[in-house]
Amino acid sequence: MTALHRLIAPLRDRRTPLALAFVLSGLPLGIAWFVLLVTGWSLGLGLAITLLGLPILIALGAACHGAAALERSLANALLGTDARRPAKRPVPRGILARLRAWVSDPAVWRAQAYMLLRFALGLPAAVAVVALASAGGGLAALPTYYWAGDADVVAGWDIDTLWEALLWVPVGLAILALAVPWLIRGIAAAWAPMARALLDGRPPEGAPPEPPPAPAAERSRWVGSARRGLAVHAAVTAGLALVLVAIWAATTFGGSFWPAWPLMALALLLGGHALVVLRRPGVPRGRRGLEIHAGLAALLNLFLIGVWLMSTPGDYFWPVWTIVALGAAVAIHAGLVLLGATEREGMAERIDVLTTTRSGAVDAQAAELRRIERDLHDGAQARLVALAMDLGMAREKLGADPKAAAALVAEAHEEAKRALVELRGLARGIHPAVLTDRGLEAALASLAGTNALRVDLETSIAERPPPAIEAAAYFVVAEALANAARHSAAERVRVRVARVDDRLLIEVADDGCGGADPAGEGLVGLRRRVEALDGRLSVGDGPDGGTIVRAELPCGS
Amino acid sequence: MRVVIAEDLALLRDGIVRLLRDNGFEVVAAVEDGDALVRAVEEHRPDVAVVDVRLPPTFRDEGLRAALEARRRVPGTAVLVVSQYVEQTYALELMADGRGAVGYLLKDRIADPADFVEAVRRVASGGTAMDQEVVLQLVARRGRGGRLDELTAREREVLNLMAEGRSNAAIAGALVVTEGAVEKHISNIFGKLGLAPSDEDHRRVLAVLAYLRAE
Repeated sequence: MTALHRLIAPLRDRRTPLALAFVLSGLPLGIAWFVLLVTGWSLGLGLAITLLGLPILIALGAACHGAAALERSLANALLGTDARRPAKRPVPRGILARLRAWVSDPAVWRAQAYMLLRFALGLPAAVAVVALASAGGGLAALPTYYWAGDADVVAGWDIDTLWEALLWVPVGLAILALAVPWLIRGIAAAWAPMARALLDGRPPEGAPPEPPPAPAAERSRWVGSARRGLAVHAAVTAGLALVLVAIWAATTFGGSFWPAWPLMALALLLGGHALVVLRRPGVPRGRRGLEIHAGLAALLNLFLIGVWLMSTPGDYFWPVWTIVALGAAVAIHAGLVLLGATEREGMAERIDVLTTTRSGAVDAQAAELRRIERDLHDGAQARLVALAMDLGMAREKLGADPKAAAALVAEAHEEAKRALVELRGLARGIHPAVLTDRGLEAALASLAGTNALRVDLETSIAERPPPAIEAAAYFVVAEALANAARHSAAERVRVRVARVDDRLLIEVADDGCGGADPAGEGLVGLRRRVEALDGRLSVGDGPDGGTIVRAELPCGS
Repeated sequence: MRVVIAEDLALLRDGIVRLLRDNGFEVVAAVEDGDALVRAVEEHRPDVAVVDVRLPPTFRDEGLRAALEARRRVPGTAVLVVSQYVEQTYALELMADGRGAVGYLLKDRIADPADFVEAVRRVASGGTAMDQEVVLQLVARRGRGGRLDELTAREREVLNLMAEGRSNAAIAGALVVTEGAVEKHISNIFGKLGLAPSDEDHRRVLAVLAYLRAE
């Protein structure tokens, strides 16, 4: 029983129909892949000397990927393999780089091997299955043939009686029930590991993760190899030209210069190649495409003019039409690119500015927080420590030495008041409350009032700017005044702040010695703060020698 | 003396209440925001209101505005405004009616209870209490190159103490001179600044503040 079960197991196996479908799919697919590979490679390589071959080869690579994907899902669904698609590789820019990328992609080569196997082994296997099944079917149906009045010959045996025909029926049934399923199972069993090996894209077990690509180095290498390719192309063209001219000289010297025709064609190809490969650095992509377009159009027109000169010079100048048509196309392209480019360049510039000022603002903010932390640590915190110490000691001495305790308490009291003063200064340095409450004019008046120098303040701010602008303006003046007091030996400072339309203009001019360092820490932080608000800040010497700090801040809505 | 207190921070409010009660004041109301202050002043008619500048809901100058509003509704209400920081702008607004009975002090001053209590009493009795930092700001605002430049260093000190609202006796004590010497300095100051002389401390203070306040 078990032996019989084992014998008919493939017939009862639900996987057998699936495997049959897979084997049969080899008929159309094997042929299709073979045609695809043969045409792709011969066209691609045949035209590779011209530029047309390269895109064909690239398309072939893509087609191989597609074919592998189809075959992978077929094998997974019908044979039960678990092949996975390979990890996506980045598609580089440029024709040659893409070509190199796929040539160096092992998945593409494995896919092609599989496609060839599908043709070389899969197709015969399918044919064999079909043939065996037809043979079995034919034998099983032999009596019907007989009834139909047709005689048949099986293995050199003339079937001319019903008994003879009936004798073959079990043989036919056995073939259908046993031989065909076993053949299918055998093919499937042999095929599955092959499919797995060639179609699975998983990295081998334990392989380290791929490092991220290094785009810059990669790119320059491709550019280098592209130039080498151009050099080879030029050398080959030159060689061909020499050979052609030599042949012409040896055979039909003095006759019509027929090598001009192939030479023109070769020159056209070489020119096109050079256009694509040679690039000026720093040209944006859109502009570069336009250059190639214009160059190719010019080359083609030159070629046609050459043809005209060689064939019907002096006659109707027919290349005029291509010149007009290609010229118009280039002009339209140029219009689009240049229009788009100004817009894009504007945006790129804006992005640059935003990137710079954003990081500047973040730096300035971080520096400010560090300063505050330092001030707290060295100032109020230290004072509170001293205060707590004094109070602690006073408590211990309270009973034994009330006089000393009183002195300590008095000291702690003073310390507490000093801490208050420091904290107030620190808070004002972060953001003066009067600025929020009463605006820039009041805050500047207060600033001028507490400054050691004589400050002449002129303000004209009809409408309050947004809070961030007010704060920036306040700290521009505060820093400029502090610098004037610290470094300039000035006696008077003139501060003028005016809102003109949507701009807030600030000028702080002192009568000191000038020569302020615009790279000083305070001024750099201030400039970053101003620039983050799309404003500008300048520091320079005034006509009378003092320092002038000017700032302009947009208050736009 | 009856006091109304407006301070939103419980820690400080309780401290001030305790301090004033310890010194014989009657705290008739301790409120947390400006509207409540105005209502309390209207209801209790206190001798003085002690008000924090920064109060809910805006935490800006709510207290100052409420104090001015209370003074408008109940004329003659003495107001002592306290703040973590002082601004000459606020001082000028407080002094705008020129009637005195106003004070404007840093909260730091509460740390010297005797001085603070003295200032509350002074304001309650119609006098003035300006923080020394405010006075410095006001003097600076008046600018150099004007008549203030004609004052001697000692006269300047006297002027600043006067502007703070201190009495002649207090100024004499602070500078360790006799009251007569202070009188002499004051008459010199008034002469140099072109102010009309006056015998009463309060009036002199107002005259000095009016001079500093003027544009």
